[in-house]
Amino acid sequence: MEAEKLVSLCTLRTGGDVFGIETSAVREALLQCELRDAPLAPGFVAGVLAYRGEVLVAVSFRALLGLPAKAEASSAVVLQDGESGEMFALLMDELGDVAQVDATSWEPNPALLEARQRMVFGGAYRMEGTPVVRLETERVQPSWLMRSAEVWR
Amino acid sequence: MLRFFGWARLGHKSYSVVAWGVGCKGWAVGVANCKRGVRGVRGVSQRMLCILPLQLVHGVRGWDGGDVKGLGVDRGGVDDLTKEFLIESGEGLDCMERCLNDLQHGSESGTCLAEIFRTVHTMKGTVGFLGFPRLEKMAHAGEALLVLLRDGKRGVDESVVYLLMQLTDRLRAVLQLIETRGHEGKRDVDDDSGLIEALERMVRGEARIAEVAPAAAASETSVSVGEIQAGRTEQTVRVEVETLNRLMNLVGDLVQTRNQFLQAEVSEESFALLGQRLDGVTASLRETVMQARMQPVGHLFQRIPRLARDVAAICGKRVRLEFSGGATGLDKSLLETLKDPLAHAVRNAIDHGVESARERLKKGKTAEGRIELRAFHEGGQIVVEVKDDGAGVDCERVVRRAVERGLIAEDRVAAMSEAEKMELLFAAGFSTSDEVTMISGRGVGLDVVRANVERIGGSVELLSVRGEGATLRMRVPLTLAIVPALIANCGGQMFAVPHSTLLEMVVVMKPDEAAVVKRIGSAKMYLLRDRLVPLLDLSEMLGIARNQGRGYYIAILEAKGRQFGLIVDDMAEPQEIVVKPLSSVLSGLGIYSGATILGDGKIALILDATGMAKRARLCETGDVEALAASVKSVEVVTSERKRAQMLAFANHRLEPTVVPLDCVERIERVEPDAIERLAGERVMQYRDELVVLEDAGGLWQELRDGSVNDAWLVLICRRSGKNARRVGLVVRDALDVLDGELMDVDGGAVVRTDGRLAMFHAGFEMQRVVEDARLMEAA
Repeated sequence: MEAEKLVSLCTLRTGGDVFGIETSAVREALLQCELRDAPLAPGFVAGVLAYRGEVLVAVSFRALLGLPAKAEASSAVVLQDGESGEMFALLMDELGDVAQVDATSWEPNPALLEARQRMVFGGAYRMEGTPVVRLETERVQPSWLMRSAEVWR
Repeated sequence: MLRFFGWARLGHKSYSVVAWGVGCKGWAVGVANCKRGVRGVRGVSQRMLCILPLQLVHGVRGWDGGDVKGLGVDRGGVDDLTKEFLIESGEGLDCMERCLNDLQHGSESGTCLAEIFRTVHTMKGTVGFLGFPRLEKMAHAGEALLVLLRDGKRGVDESVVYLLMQLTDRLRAVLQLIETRGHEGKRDVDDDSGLIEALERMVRGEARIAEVAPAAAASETSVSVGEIQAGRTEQTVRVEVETLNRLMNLVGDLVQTRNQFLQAEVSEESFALLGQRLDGVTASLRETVMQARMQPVGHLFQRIPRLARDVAAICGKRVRLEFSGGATGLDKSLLETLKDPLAHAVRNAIDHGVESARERLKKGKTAEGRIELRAFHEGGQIVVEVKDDGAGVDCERVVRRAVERGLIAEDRVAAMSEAEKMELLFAAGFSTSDEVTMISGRGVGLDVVRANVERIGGSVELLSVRGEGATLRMRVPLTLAIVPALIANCGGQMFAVPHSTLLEMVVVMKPDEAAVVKRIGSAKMYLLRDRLVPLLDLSEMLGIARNQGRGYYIAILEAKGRQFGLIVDDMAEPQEIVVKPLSSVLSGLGIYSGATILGDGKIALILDATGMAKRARLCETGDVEALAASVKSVEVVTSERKRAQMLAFANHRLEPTVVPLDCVERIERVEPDAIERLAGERVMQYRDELVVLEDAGGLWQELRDGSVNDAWLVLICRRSGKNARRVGLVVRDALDVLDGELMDVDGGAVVRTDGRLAMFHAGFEMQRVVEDARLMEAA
């Protein structure tokens, strides 16, 4: 059998979907984070959190998808904003395991996808039958969000 | 993926670029011949040259199959070796300038000359190696002269010093060019033959004083009087290896303590001891890091003598400078910020403070004016002051001038205190100079100085005694990293208020409220002793709920010379907080200057008093004339055809999109089943009329898969043109009404609103809309 080309993904859950971010892009996964409100911040910002002596902006993935915010504490992954070089946290409902998926199983976004989803979804891999949506990390970073959409304010 | 970083027009040929690939560092400049602009980029004219980083370049191909005319790699930017050279040479030139100044004031010439010689010699060697021929030629000519001087074969006189100063300026200018552009400058202006020739003539002993000196002084002052740009090299700090070693040791100590902590049981006796040890390590670590960032204030003073000499020459005055406290340490970043304010202050002191020699003699002072620059510690702050023994500030003249310039109304003058009159000097646009000269009179002066110093948490004050002189005193904190602050609680959230902006705290208990908090119209004021201070409610401003207790606190803050009160729920004790930078997403709001992590791990946002005052429009003057002027300017703007009010909405692409507000008749909320299908189009009934719906929110799709049940928003709009009819735009959400300006891009599809760009929804034209509106009014 031909050796499969594997991609290592950090899996996360928000709403009903499973998402994957390439493990190399994830600085750290925080199982529980204590958020603090940032009044007057743009809509995609859920607050700020302390991480390794720095204060990071937390981007709410739920807000990006247009889902209502959750009251209880959520998990987060720390990513780096490729443009500004700052680190930021992406709030997700739940963290999953690190999974190896077959790179050839990737399929582009379905045409029926809603606009908000189309923006951050980067196609999907199949993992034992269930789809794992590849998350476009470039599209969730604060500098992009600040520029792209007045909609979030 | 193609990404575009910059465009440049190139000659008369039509160029544009398509390039992609992976590889080396630097920039690729690709030029391809093609007829059209690059796809995907709007408004690109045909004759363009595209520059993009090589990491993104996969290969080169002409668009439309056009020929690739060439691909060049321009190694822009500065490599590490050159960067080091720039820093070293900059320091060398500083030292050279200082020595030249000493020479001019007749100090012992031997060591000074040796120092200057060493600088130029080192530079000559390095530039030869790095390949900067322009610098090399100049350094060579300078060196030849310096050898003569060092060996005593030629005496040092005014003309020599002038010429060497000119050389310093030139060298510095070229270094700056290298730093900003990566090369030495290739234009005609960058010709040094005149200077080199002068140096050579001096070596041959031909030049006479009269020939060189005045010309040199006149041509070069414009360079040094102008702003000194802060370059990239100023972002670096030199740290002694010993300091680094000490830091490493301390970090080692910290790791060791942590290990012990991990092994220790809380119940153990040594636990308290461990805590103490950790405390000690942390304190010394902090101190050492702070020390590493400290630089002597003397660095600031280095360029002042030269500046003073030039300014004094232009003003025709004589000044003597005195420095003290140059060894006082100050955080490197603060030092950079103080550079321009200090230069301003010295310029002011010479131009406005010190009188001319004749006038001074008449008053019984020495012909030479004395300017004293001092730096010292005072109450946890660093004070840098510029003191002159000139005429002092003429309050009456200041007031007259302010009235002339329309900064205050004449009838208010009588009620003003002496201090308030002095405060006028800090008003934007104030200048007592009758004519605009190269050094002053442009109305950018003390207000800028104050703004710069306040930005770093400092303050500026001006003390003056008529006839005896004036002192400009700048107070700055020791460091920006750690500041004393009060922690305020508002609606259960923590905010930090730095001491630098805090004047005092007052408690207002509910029963006393009516006596001290007054209302004037919609504004709340606090009666602080005999003055009324405007009040801002933090919870109202931030939109958070306040805890209703038995009373509240008011922090009296000062920003831009104005006081205001900030209402908060509660105040905790003062703390020294470590300032953490905030992402631009939040710092861009203007009200937070940073964040800090408190002892219990919670985050407190640091409030920016100036930003809050600005947001609440506290700093705008209530002057009727100014108000009238602003109303006038609004009228001018609105009379332009291309400006109008816009309704912004969210469309399916999630781009901010706008339609002119005049077009929108109504915003209707419509249930999905009110939408009917007719002849392949979706329509709805509106006032006994059929309105065709256009999908601007990507909602048809959601209707098809049944995921929407909510009501939709439909903007009932009137299309412009002859067969004007109503249409309905189905949108995701109506966002805001903004002031927008149509931009001349691609037939006007982009609108600028409040500095941001938005798409202009197709099919609506502003110009006609305005006309339509007028017609409707007429009818």
